[in-house]
Amino acid sequence: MSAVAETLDAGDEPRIVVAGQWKLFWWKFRKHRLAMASLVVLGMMYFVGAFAEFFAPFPVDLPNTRYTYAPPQMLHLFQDGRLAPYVNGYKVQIDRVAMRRTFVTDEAVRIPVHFFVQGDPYLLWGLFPMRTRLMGVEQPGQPLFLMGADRLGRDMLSRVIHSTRISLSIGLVGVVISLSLGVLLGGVSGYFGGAVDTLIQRLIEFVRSVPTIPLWMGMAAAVPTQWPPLRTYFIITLIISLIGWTSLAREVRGKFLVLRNEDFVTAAQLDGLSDLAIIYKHMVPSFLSHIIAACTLAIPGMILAETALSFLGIGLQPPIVSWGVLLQEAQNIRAVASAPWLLFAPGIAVVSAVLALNFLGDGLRDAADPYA
Amino acid sequence: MTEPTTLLDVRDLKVHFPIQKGVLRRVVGHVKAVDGVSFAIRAGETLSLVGESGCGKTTTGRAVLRILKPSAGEILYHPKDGPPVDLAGLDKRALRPYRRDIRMIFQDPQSSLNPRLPVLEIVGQCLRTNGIANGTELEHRVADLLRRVGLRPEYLRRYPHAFSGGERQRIGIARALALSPRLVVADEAVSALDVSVQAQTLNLLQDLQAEFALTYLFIAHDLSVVEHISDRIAVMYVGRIVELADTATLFARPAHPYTEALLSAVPIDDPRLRGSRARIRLGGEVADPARPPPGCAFHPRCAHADARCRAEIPVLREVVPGHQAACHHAESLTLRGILPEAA
Amino acid sequence: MPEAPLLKVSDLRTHFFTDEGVVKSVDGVDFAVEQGRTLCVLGESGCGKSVTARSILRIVDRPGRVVSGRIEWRRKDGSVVDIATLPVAGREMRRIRGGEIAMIFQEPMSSLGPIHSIGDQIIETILLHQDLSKSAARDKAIQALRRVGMPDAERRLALYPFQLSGGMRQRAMIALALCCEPRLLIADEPTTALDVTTQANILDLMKGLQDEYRMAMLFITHDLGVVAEIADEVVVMYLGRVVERGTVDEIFHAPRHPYTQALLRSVPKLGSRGENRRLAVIRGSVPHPFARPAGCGFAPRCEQAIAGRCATIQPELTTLADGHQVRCLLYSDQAA
Repeated sequence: MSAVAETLDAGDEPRIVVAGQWKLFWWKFRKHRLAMASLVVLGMMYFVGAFAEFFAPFPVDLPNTRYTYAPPQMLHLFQDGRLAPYVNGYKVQIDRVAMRRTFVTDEAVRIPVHFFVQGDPYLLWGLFPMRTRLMGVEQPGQPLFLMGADRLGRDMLSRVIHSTRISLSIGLVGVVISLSLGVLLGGVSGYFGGAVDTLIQRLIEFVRSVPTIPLWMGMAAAVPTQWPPLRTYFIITLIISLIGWTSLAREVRGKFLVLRNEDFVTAAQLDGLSDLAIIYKHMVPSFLSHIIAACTLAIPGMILAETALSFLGIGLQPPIVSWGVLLQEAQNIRAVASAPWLLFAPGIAVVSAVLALNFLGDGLRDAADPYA
Repeated sequence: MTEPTTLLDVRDLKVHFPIQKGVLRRVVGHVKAVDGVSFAIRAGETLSLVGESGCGKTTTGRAVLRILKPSAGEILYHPKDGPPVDLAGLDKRALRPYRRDIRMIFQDPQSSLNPRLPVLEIVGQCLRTNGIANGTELEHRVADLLRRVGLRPEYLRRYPHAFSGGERQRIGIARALALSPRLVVADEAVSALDVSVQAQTLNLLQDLQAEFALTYLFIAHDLSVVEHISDRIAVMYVGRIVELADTATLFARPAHPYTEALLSAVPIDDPRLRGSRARIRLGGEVADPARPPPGCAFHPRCAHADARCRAEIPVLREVVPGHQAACHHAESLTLRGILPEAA
Repeated sequence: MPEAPLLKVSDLRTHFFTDEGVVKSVDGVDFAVEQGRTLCVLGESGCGKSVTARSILRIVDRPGRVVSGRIEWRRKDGSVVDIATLPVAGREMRRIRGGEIAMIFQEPMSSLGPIHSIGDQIIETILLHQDLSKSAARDKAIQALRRVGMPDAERRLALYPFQLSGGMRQRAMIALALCCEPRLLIADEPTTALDVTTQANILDLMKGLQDEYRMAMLFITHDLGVVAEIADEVVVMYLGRVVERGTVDEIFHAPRHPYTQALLRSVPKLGSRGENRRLAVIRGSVPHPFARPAGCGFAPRCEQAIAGRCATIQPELTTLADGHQVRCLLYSDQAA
């Protein structure tokens, strides 16, 4: 029998033979370049969202009336051959025919930009008082608008960074709620079968047959406007997840049904394992990776749903900022015509986050069955 | 030698699957996968169930293991000590002690091993669950089992994907042996294996049988394998046993026309003898177990069928001592086997 | 001078370029198929027999590719074309594929589409390869189904593959393959998934049809019993190479290569019971494709391996005095 061993030892790399499912999962995922890149992009986005106050140069609602609708500035890193970042100031020109102010870059004015400056004080996560920001200007009131300014002269970059936190976390929280509902109902459906299964399946079909936008609109419109922003945020998340759980429940149920007939599950029954132990030890690990992939693919839908609701003005309301709220603010002809950055800054954020999540989800899905 | 003791006595076993239709899942009929099967397995022997796909041999095996609940009939198991128990009527909890005595080897070494668990877990799971071993003791036991089936004991941390098909089947065999069973149901245990690996596995099964005094219920469709390994053979057709005899007799003097046809279809593995055997070509198709024909299920394809065969279901009866057949004409027919009579 | 063989494969190599490395599924295969004869390719799973068949029709799935070798096919007019050099999707290849060389598979559903009736599928194939009217093609399709022993062929024309039993489906696939009267039929394990009685019927049918059409058959199988029943010549493959080639009688009664000898011994023989209940085995298992031995592929499992030589030297296919070919160092000094 030693020949058996020899061929094996010679044939396989020793590390693969003792590699468990997550190692194989990771090895397979790593080959998916686009998904890896998306993972890095998303990691950065979530990091920036988590420390939004630090990364944003200004507080989210700091107006600067001198610079309403100021266009984006270019950040210059070098000055006279040495590292000394600065931005140029603005010159105001009055267009007498159109009767409006336009900003042009004033090459003569150089406003120095510093990193790790002590800026406006803030509470990180509402707990830790801090003042350090990634970058800022020396004097309060000096313009630093890398993505332009809005109608009140608020810095768009700071607003986009702050809304990243809200928009991305809505996706996560929403998926967690959907997942709990989906796994619970899908698992019950797939495990017990029979009448319970039929009932839950019909419920899912009913929920899915209701047109989503009117349903969301109806429910979101019912949220009282005087509620505190945080409560509104959770209610909106809940409303969005009400639809999302159905597809996850189907996925879980399908996996349950397939796995129930696998030989290794039969073998576990013959080994004397209880039903609960079989689910926990054999069935859940078998579809966990699939569920992770399905969740990742569900997040962009949640983000888009929130964006859509807020854009329609029935989702989150200022002072909470999300990408949808920002887009809603850019929802007029003037913004599109003369200050397109109001549209582009949050728009690009939404598109890149959704694309990255989809690519990541695809990569995870491909890696989900490392034994295929 | 004393009279061989019976280990398992299956009496009139029936497994019917309901056919459900519509939203209300109304039962519109039954697939009679196993429809009145009786046989006895003697301690220490290898009894094979053979037949073509859909004949109910796998379902019979699964009913004996109580993976399925029989619709009717008795599965009398004779434990080492104590009176016989009818496994057919026991619930999950009551079955537990007998699950250790009757174990299974699966057909597909790919799907019967959880790819997400290392060998230690796969083989050791039943020992742990039954409270027999734990921790280092479990590792020693599993390592020992691996050695017995011809695998290196160091392999216990490896995952199934690191093994070839034949080695995976050995892991499956180790799992079946872990609880020192008395009866092992091997469902097409060598069918998915390559010829050279199949031979290794058959030898291993025979060695283990001798070493541990095992009894096999061997379910297979390959007649040369069956002839090699079995003491007695039961031939199934559309949910029933049509013939049961010891191996040599069955191959030399079949008593049922279906057995004769089945034997004659086995390829002759010598090109010089090509065409030397009269092949019985069966017309028509295997009957649908949801709507079996009246009378003998084989009569539409049988050359010897008459009015009685079309009306009356033949029962399995002893034609000569030790040789049972379910054919009205078993005594009057002269059927040809494919092996010469043993001297 | 005798006619050139219908199909002559020389030094065929088909490799798969995977992320993990190159899998040399077929790595040196030579054989010839004569008109009206049956050549069996015998081997265990992973030996490259199916890839060989697919290479001949140029239907190897990516990332596989025919990397070298010649596949010489004699056309009806006597001209010889090298299939290995034809464009995969070109007109000539399409005409050969299905028209001159047909293939049947282990799983009928892989060549029968599920959404068209079997009649439609056969008629369509006939129209694709032959210049016939629709009604003539229909008649031909009915004939084809009758010839494969399908009762009530006219009515069954309208049935869909899922409505047929396994054996009938196999017959429908054979009818589909034979409807254009190919000169070579490649059969890849066509009876492996079937029951013994059905297998016997299908083998009888194929033999009968072959006699009727003087068609050549390339029959791929792992089942020695089937080989004994149907083959004229046999090619034994191991790890992507032909290790032995000879007539069916020689292979069964005077096998030369240690692998063939061991393979024959390891099969349970009917009636050998009682003499010796243990089967002779080939030790170990087929090496992983990424871990091919440097020398002879079979050396690590071979009982007769010559120490120091077989593990390092790759043997050539040697032709012995009686025309029998074997790839083994034991015979290197017996070359004709």
